[in-house]
Amino acid sequence: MSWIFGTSTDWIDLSNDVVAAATGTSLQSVDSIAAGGTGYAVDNILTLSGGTGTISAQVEVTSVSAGAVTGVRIYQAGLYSAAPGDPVATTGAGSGCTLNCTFATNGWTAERNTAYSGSEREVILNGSGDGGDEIFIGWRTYSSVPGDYYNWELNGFTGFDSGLTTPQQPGVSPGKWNAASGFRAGAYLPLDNASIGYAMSITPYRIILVAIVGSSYFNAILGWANRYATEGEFPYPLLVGGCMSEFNGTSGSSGLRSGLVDPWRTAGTEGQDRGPMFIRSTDGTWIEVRNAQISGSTKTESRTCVVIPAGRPDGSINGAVSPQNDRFTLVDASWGEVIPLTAAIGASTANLQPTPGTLNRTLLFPATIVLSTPAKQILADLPDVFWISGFGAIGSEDRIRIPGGAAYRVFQNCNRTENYAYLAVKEI
Amino acid sequence: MPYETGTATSIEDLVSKFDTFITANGFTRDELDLSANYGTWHETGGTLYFSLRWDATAQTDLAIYQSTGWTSGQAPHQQPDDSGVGTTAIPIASGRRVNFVSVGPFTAYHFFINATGDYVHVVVEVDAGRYRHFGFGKLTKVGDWTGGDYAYGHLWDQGVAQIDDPTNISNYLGLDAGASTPNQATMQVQGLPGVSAASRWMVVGAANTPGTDRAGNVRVSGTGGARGGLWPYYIAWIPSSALNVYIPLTPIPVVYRDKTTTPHTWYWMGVQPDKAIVNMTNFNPGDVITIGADTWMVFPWVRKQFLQANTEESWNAGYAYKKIT
Repeated sequence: MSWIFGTSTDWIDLSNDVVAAATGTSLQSVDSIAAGGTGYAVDNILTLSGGTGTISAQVEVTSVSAGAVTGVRIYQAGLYSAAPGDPVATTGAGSGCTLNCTFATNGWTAERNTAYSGSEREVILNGSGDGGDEIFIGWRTYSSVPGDYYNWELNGFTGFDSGLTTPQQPGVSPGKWNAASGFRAGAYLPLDNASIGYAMSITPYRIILVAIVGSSYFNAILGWANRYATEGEFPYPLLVGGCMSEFNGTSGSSGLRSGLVDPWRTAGTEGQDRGPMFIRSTDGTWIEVRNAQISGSTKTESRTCVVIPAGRPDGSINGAVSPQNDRFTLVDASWGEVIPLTAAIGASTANLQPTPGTLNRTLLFPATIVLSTPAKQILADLPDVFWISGFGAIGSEDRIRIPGGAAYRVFQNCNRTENYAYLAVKEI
Repeated sequence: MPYETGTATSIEDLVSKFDTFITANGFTRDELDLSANYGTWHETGGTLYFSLRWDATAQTDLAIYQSTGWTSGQAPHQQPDDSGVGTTAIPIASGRRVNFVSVGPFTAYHFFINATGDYVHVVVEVDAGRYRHFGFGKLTKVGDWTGGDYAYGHLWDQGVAQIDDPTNISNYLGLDAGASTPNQATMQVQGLPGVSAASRWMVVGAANTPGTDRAGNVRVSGTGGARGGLWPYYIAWIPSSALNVYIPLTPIPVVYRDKTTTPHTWYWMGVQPDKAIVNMTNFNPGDVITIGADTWMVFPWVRKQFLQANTEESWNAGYAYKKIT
């Protein structure tokens, strides 16, 4: 479990950085404070010394006693080829704080990481899950200078065969590999041929990536969802989630993108067939997950399989519930006031603010995939991803820290600017 | 015992058994006057005060009151800071109440309470397969705002357009969204944004004007419950999964709506403890759901039935109550 952030030089370098992180070694836990040191204060950021790596791990101080560190939380898991040994010295703020730590690999093996066309990369990773699992995900970088796009195509698989091309891999999810014009819609991540900031949350089950291009936060997820079922009932809940359905879309201002907590696909020849998120069903088919289709600044709601609370499944309006005897709700006071479901994208008619009190609690709402057709069913949660209201003093890259618990990083959803278009990712 | 079931011969007998149960499980009786047909109780050591009143001559309705204290010798609606939703007159034909549409005997009652006496939730099987719900408790709050004590009744409209429609806004139940005061649930709140210092009450589910309490102080609007949108709006209706028959037990939220701002501002206040919304497609009334170490009992809102024949029915809408034994 690792929270890693940094900067890549471009869309291809980002691919290399994600592979390095997924297959590398990072700080997994701080097991004890070996020495509290002196001169520290809560919120100090301490950098771990020693070891060999490309990114040094950091912790934030969560509690002190007379200037001595008594509690820390991982702030940056770092990336090492050789981890430092205990007790690990630190730098920053006070002096003398040393930590006993656990470093381990992040749980993924690169089955394929090669250039397939010029410098463009194709990657297939195998996640270990609980140690007995094999979770196959991948992506291919591609670009067009005339088209001004520098993107990733995201895919999931059910296995890996080294003798097959990526599009030929077993159980491959929908995407550009279909080749025929007008049927290339899938799960894509718009990037850039310039500097890209990133934040990654990696577990052996899934990789969550937020790529920062200018002032936009393009996001994606590859790996297993948190199923509402046992492993035997839903053995391979593979999730492939991007934030754009058209392969030739750009990260510029030409189109609105929306991922993870509110996936939108794009209208038009290259985007409207499917995407930008898929979950593999128990019957082996890929279920398209989307909340809307966007055309310019107008969206058309989708309800077949959505991510709530930003999406609205079929049954959420009385008139749409079938059979009628499953109808529960009234429509006079709906969530739709906070997250407008109307065609015009714009201001909400009600704002959800942090709960009042001396603590001012900002709520994290699970991002849950709900299927309406053909069977009404709550399929799964997006692991460690939450919808969050942007009203109140909340902005991109802010952190929500639970006293004694985890921290969550807030991002606006891609290049959207509405206050209800934010997500939070748990820093693990 | 934090759960009890039994039978009651009348409303008065039900109240008597209710009194015995809750005073043994974390609540204190302030007054129970069976000759005057009312009683007041409070959470021991807490701020949750509530009263019940019934009619000796036509005992089909049980009026529900909430206050912030108790004064000896005063009628329920005259208790300190009365929330203003209970009737002031007998017979009980208006205000927040439970309309049993029966004088009894009642087929069964179910009292639910937790170990720390944070709530008492009551389910009454009035006659075979027909139910009523009422209760009192403390919201499981988000944050540390002041208040959270709630009271709710159950008024099922007997009109031909309402009696067989659980989505009708003239039916009131739980911490739920109905159409107008004064029949709805109340919750004590203080110091919220847009609330005057004198205000004490949120009317939960008031889509329109929340009105004033007994003393004339303005109440504020809340929403939520099973029918008021938000989380239940999305998933409460979902029946058992075709994959594995899992079914969501949907928490019952309460949201404060500050109408003094434009647009309105919503604040998520918390959820009702140990009670959830459930689709009863695959359940019968009184069925037990076991989730890990927890046990829940499910009941229809009024009757599990979909005939639309002008009799009480609530289709597949149900509540689940955590049964602590």
